[in-house]
Amino acid sequence: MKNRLRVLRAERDWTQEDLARRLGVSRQAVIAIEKGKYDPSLPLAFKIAAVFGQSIEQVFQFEETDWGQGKS
Amino acid sequence: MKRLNRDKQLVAVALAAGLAVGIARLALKFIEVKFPDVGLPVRLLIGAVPVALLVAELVVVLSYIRHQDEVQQRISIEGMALTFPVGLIVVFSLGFVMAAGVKLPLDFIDGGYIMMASMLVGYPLAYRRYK
Repeated sequence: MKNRLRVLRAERDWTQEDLARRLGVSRQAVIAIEKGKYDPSLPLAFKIAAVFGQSIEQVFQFEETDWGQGKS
Repeated sequence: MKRLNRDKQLVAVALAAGLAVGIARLALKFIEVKFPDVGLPVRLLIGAVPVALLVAELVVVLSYIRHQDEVQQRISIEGMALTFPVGLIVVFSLGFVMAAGVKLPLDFIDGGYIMMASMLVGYPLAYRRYK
């Protein structure tokens, strides 16, 4: 799943640490999500969208290749 | 007294448990050689000390994992999922080598150390995946 975390973060001039603090997660979690190595749970995805003041669809893009992937 | 943070608690209890296992083992060996008349209850009590610390470690680990975020929890679970098979492969391999007749300076308790050591393989592999 693609996401725009890095862009949205850069627009606000936030560091990964800033975003992690706002989300109440580790910086390691922000890095993993940003790099697309980990797809966040639904509650965390909502939280991320809320922190950026966007909808989930504006932050995360579900792609054709994500069909059939039962794992993150 | 200032309360240790969870990372330090985890390491401190793990070190204490590891140390206690080693000391208890040496103490039991010493008693066996020097004081063979010491009763079974005392020997069992000595053996119970490291076990109590290992139980404490279990509580600390559970609390530690419960307070992790979802990525860290995923790494912990995948780390454990890798640790156990790796540890079992080593333990069973050595066990069968010994059962076949090769003399190795190992016994049942060493299996625990091997399981602990296999975390050094399992966790970095899991961590690497989400780096």
